Amino acid sequence: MATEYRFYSALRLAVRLVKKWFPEYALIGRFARNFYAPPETTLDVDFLVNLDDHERLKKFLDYASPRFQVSPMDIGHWQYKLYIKSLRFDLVKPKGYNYDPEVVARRRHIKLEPISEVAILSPEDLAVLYLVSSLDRGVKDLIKAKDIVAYSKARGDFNEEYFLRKSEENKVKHLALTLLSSNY
Amino acid sequence: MKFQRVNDYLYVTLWDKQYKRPRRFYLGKSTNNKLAELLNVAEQLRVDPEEIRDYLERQMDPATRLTRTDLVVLALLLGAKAWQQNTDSTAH
Repeated sequence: MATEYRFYSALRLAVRLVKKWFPEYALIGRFARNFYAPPETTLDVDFLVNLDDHERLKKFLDYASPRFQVSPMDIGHWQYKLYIKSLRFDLVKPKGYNYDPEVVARRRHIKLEPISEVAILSPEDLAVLYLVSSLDRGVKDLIKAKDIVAYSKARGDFNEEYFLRKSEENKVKHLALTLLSSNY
Repeated sequence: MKFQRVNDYLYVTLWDKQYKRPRRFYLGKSTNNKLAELLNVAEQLRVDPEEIRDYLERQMDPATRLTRTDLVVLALLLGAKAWQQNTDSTAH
């Protein structure tokens, strides 16, 4: 029970903090994937934010560092680790991924009882993001992309044309077409 | 899926269902091509239709057509607890 309370409290704080500095944020990673496919346990929560906006990033680091443990503390990285109540949250902007206003506009806003509302990447954009990261991280991210595509199609919640267009923009269309080549 | 090697470079031709025509993609140098390996894996990936049925019947919320939020939160909690236990045992 104590872990549950601490966890909800940390997640609520993290969402509020990230939203304050990066209102365009979207939750990604396994947490977001779990809304579109059978849930798997996850050790951390990942936020996709615009880390290329160095001015805002500096303000965020200046604000967060006296209050929470944050690393690294300098500008220019693609990933920042934030510890709140000893739980880990990552702020990321993967290299090679184009986080454009259309992707931001297509986020899903989900009411989550203990935390109120969270924004997560759409299934199509999350699958594209996994395809981009599979270029570095390999098969495990490819499998996550396949899960999202297969289960979202089964839920009747997948815009294939948009997925292919975004795959093309992010230079992973060959992977997207291959994933779509089988029904399941 | 059809791979072609031209000099030291590798290409693949795929049916582009968006534009309804075959299309050639450049994959990089042919020696030890990781992208070609990924494409081969991607072609083999399947999700068991039985598991999809089970997900739709038991784990999806018919109102939102997304996974039930209680299951999503539970997955996070279990992960956080496992992580906490691991941290505690490391500290000991």
